Amino acid sequence: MSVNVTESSLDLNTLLSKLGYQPDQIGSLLGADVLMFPKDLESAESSFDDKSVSIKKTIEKQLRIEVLTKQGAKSHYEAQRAADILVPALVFLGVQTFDIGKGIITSWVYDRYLQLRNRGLTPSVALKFVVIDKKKGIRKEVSYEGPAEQLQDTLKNLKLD
Amino acid sequence: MPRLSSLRPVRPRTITVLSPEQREILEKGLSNEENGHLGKAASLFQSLYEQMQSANSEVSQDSACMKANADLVLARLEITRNRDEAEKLFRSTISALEVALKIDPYWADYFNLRGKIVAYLHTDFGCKIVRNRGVWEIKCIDVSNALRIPGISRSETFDLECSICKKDPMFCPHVSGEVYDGRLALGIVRHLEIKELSIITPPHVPEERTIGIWPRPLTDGDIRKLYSEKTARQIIDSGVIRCKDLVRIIRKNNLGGVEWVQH
Repeated sequence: MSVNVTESSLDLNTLLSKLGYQPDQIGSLLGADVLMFPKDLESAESSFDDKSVSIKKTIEKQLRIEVLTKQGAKSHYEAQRAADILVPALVFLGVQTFDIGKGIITSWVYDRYLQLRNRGLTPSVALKFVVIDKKKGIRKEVSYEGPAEQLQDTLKNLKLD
Repeated sequence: MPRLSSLRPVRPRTITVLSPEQREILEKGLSNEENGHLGKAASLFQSLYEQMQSANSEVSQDSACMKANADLVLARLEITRNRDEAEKLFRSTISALEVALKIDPYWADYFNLRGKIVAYLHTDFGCKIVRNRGVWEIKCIDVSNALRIPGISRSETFDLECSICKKDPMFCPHVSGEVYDGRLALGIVRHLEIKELSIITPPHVPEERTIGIWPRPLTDGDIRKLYSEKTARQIIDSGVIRCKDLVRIIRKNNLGGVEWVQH
């Protein structure tokens, strides 16, 4: 399957308010390059896939990433031991940031793919990103679900502006 | 699989509080080991172990790492002479490292060496499957995998704690697998709750093959079916079979299926 790009209606301010962030905190969060969301925004607690830690540490080597949690509530991890690669929902604040971020993500996915392939598995990958670039007036949702080994080539040629 | 040559002695966690004489013994031991003088190295590590044992409590508690070094180099010396003895010494090295790790469970050198020896023993020797009252209980996932016994996939929730700073690793600066002042950063699972277990049958494959369903216990009758009469008798008389030998015969005979699972 190829990558799917659509217009996004994501309202970040509303979403962050829903998570319990105060206006001054929201201003600071929107200064980041990337935002990582918990799995279920409707849930009383924040939960993350256990691989989220690894992807966050990989991204923060090059970009400023903020992990969003339900304010005042506990956060925990969930693991689905399936042979698929799930990338957490990420919002890239800027097209240039996305261009850097997609390289980081595809390398991370490829490493996971190699680990799983060495165990005789052929993993699929599912991901969904939102890219918001206020200056360029871009608000896109990028999603991909398909063979992990094809992600790199698919995203490499993707241009949003 | 770790190579034998990668199983090298460690430096003590408490090296900075050892006396100059003790450090000299350590360096001589390491140098002898590096130059292949394993017997001499073992004597030096054993001597340092005894000295450390009678030192202050911090050094004394760490002394087990030198016992591990002594047993490790002796195991490497024995491997071509007496494999049974070598295996005993490797297992004794693991036990000594576990004692040393009690004080600091994530001391990277001890933690990594223990992991390498465990992996080496499993691949080079194979785990022991022992006959007990006429049955052979198998607790080795490699045998399950060879028999194509379905795997398990699980869904679970848990908290993670950084082994270095005890914080949630998502919000701490430490990276899992990296070493900070000698300590290994790892995400320690806390408050684990298994939500769901699924049996995964081919063509689906679970992400992890290190957990799964054990095969049913083998009987002497199974051993006789698997091997020639003479070999089967030898195995039954010895009361021990290694997992890797069992895996080999399973693959050779293309065995597998539900009959190998306990009902």
